[in-house]
Amino acid sequence: MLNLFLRTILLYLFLLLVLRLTGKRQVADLEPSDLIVTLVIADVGSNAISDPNIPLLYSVVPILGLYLTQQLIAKACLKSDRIRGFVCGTPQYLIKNGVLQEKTLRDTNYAVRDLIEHLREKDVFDPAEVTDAILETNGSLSVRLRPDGVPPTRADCSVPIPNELRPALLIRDGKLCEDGLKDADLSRQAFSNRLKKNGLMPKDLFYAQRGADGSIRVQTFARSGAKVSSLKKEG
Amino acid sequence: MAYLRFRRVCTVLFCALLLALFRLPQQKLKNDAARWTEILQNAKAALLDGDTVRAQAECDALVTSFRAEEEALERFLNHDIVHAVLSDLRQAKALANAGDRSGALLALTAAESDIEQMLCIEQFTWNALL
Repeated sequence: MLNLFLRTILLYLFLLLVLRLTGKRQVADLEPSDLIVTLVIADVGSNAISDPNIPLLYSVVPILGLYLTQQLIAKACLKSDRIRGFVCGTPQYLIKNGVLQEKTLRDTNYAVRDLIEHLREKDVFDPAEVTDAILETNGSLSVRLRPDGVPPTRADCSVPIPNELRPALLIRDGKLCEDGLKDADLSRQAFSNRLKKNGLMPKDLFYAQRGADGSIRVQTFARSGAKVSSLKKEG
Repeated sequence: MAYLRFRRVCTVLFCALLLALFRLPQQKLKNDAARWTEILQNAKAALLDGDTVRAQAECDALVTSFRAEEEALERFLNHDIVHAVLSDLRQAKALANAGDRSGALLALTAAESDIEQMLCIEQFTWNALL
């Protein structure tokens, strides 16, 4: 069992090194360490499921080994930036101040065509609109547009910003959500009273949500006609 | 907070489980293998002495002793190797009963080597690790 455990850790570290060396493009939305854990756990688990000659412990020990190693590495990453840099990599500029970074593109195995494709996924069809494009550690691309290409915000147009509330789910699938009521700063009693004023009872509702403007949008059960209504914000 | 506490408790439990798994199966296998090797050597000695009756009794004891532990072994060893040892021991028993001393000796030697292999799986060595 100790052999099995140590082999798992050795293999984990080896896979981590190889995945880091292959560059970020292969990682796609997962940190290298997360990807290894996901892939290896799936493989180890399926071995024990498909082969009845393998004891369950042959899967349990490596999975626990991976879990503990992952926890240790996560803790080490929190403590040291250098370890984090090695395990997760560091974000890299593919476009900086509007200039394509040729060396970084080569180092990360990114062809210009790939970069343009990723920009298109971000609804940017002309690299000239981009000030900075950063390849994140999980393989995704973050893009900062040139100031003249960014749509104006309310603040830019001096439009007054309403004091919006956080939407809170009050009833879902016919059940009262205590967390949502707490978020909306409503007691059960106050909520029931507000419904009663509008001729409703909590048990009649399939769904209720407090919206950003303070109104409550409700929908009755399908057996009661799935009626949707909006209860205006009180005083 | 509750989740974090739960995760911490699980991590401690996992560590304890792993430590137990590093020690207990190895210890059990070591004890059992020592017992089987002793009986196996007795059976071999009896076969070499030409004492077929004693060899039959030793082989019988060996099969019975191994079968008693078969289920426990299969919890932490690949079933193939456990079945291989049992098959060799049964063969040795059958050959000893039939009076085929050299055949029985060969089967016992094969069983001995399989038992050694079982021990290697659980014992930590750099070779086994790599």
